[in-house]
Amino acid sequence: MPARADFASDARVPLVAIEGVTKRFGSALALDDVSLEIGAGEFFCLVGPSGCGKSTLLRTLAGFEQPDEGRTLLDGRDIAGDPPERRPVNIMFQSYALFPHMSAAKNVAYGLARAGLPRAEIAARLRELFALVRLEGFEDRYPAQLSGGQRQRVALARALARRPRLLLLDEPLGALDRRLREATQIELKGIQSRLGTTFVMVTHDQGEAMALADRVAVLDRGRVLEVGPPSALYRRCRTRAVAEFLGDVNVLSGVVVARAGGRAQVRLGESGALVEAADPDGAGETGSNVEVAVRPEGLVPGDALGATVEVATDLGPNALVIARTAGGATLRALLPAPGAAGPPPPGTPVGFAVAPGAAWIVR
Amino acid sequence: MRGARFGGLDLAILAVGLAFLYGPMLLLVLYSFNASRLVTVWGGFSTRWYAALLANEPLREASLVSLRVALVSAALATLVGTLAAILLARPGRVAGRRTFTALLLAPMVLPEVIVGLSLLLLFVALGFERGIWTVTLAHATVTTAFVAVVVQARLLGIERDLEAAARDLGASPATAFLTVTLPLAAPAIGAGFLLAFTLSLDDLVVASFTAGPGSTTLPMRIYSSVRLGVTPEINAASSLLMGLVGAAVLVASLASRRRAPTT
Repeated sequence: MPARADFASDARVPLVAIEGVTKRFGSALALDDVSLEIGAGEFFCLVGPSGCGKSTLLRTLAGFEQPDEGRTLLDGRDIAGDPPERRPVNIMFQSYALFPHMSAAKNVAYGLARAGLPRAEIAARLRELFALVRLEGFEDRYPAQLSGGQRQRVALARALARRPRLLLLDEPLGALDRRLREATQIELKGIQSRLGTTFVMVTHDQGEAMALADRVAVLDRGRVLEVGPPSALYRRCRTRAVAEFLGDVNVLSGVVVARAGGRAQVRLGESGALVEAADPDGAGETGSNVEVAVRPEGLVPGDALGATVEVATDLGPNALVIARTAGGATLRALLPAPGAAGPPPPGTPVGFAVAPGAAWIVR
Repeated sequence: MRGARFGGLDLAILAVGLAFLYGPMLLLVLYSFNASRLVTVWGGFSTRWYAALLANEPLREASLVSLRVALVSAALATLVGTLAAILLARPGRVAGRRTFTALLLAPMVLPEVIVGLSLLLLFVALGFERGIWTVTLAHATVTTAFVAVVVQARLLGIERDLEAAARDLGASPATAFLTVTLPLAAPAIGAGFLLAFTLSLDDLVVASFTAGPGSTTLPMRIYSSVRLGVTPEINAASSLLMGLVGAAVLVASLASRRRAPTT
């Protein structure tokens, strides 16, 4: 969906515009001059370590927190003064926050009843919603009588019931076990693209963000570090912090010896090998010291970097090799499956090279 | 974990403990069915003292006074105590929460004699004529704290996000409270009411200080009759009172146990 991914170049008004939002709790800065634009129909993820401000940002969009500075616009209109009940925005809580004294159907119908929909229409809408989350037959169960996965679906149906312009999801899959989480990710993505609703999801799980998001914003200590499509950020981010947050990464230091276009030739400090690294915004001038990031899958057998195996794990489709160079740096490489012989034992000398296009310069 | 089983020694200790607690009351109930006029001599089974009780005008009147005082004061205490609990259990910062909590709970630990005396002084100073209303107000004052404690504990147990979820789904703050928080707190509010009701029904000290002519409560009447010698009739009245209080406590504990299923 490239049209969605690079909507920012589009002249339309974004659905959500967050402009310079700052939020303090006492002396703690929860949000520090955050600016983001989210397009209609996007699946947008806010990721970052716990305490980075992502949940505060979500609660600000829902109307439970007021920004101290800055504006939040929905369809170009400032919604700062609107209480939660008057925003065309719904939130799915991490705890699900299902009403324990109401059946699943009553929970889902709660928002529809508040909107004053006629009884027949509520019934029709309920059938539609329970079918959407595949929970037909569970309408009369109480939350305590449902499994974790079923509660999660009720919570999703309830949050979607009012057909919000914007759906906020706070760690929606956090309480599910791994297998269920993966199945639910696929379903969530399916529901989102079928309805075309804009989703803003908070997660601390970068894998989840990679799997679901059209675009990702990485937050740390209340600031937005970088925004972009996850595939691009994973392979070409500007900062080391983002590279490390989005997955395993090898960071090698070296000196730029030549530049051409958006690429730089870097002589690695330890081995003296030459590596070609992408440098889209020209961070490395010729002669300057830089850091080069390479994902484990970007290291291939070769002779640019010599090391000895510390641990090698057979993951099935491939093998994760953790090796140490003579200079003491740790390298993580994802190599092709080792075959029946098994992965190399500790102490085996190995050599790596950087696959073409796999390295990039980070700050 | 295996369920607790009672051994022989445990059973013996249990029996002694229960006998210590309930033996005297059992004896009282037993003697209320005594055919003999002599309180300490068993003369066969009879319900004649319950019949005599019905004919006893002062005791009947006192029972009615007690019931009216208990109902009205419990209603007042439930209203005020619940409102206090809502404020004190509100999430976020509430100015003076600790001070107000301490002030609210003080009547629970103050000696009843002092509470009774100070209320008496207040009513006299204000020029209130003592009667059923002063007793009712006094009981409401004493029992509000108990209601507040019970309701506050329940409110604190309700997940905070629930009211937020209701707001998010289009409910005004008042609607969110009425449709989500209040139903979840209702068992505790009911339990608080019954607690206040039984406390009022039981009370002798505060009532003695604040009652006036025509507002003698049942415990006051029983106490004053006993000073002239215990009659089987009083045993019968006490048994009925005990039954009523016991039933109320049972309902209250059932109500607070039957809380909404937790997620």
